[in-house]
Amino acid sequence: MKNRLKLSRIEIGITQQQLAEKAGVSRQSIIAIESGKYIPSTLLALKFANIFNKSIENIFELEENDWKK
Amino acid sequence: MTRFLLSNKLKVPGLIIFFSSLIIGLIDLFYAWEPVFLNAKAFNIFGNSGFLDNINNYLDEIISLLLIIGGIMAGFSKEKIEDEYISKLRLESLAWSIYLNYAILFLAIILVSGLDFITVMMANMFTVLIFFVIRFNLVLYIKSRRMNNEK
Repeated sequence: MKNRLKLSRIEIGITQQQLAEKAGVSRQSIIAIESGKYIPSTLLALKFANIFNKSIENIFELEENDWKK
Repeated sequence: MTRFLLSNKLKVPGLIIFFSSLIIGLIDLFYAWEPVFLNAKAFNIFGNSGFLDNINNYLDEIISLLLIIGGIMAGFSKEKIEDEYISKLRLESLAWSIYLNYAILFLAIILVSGLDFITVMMANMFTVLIFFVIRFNLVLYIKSRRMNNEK
């Protein structure tokens, strides 16, 4: 799954720590999600969408490989 | 999973109890250290009197109980920020430790017999917890070091 979390975060000018605090998760989680090592739950994805004021599809996007899993 | 986790305040005391009892346990195992003041009649709830005839050294029992208490406190206490990613790391560590534990037991069943196998079985009572606590905390430590390097 491709994500634009880092880009969205930079767009609104907040740090990983600030995003972690807003979403109520650890900074480790933000790092893992931004680097594509961890796919967040629907709840967390919705929180990100709310923080960035975007739709989920604008932050997370399915890739071809995701259909093969 | 968070529902079943202990308070974060128990983590550090858990780690202290766990590692100190592990070290004392290893000394006891390899050097048969038995402090005389811990000698007492052995309990046996299945016996007629509730005791065995011989004297038991209670160091083993104390260490075993502390290892279980410390291991559960260290492995199943919440992190300061307990989120879904930490839960995933905990679950992966638990699965990893169970695989490793039973892989070792599998080899021991084939390669070890007699009284030595009893020693393996005694150690095996604690190895899942030992592998889990060490692996989970090591993963957290590596992640936090990487995080600090990214600053």
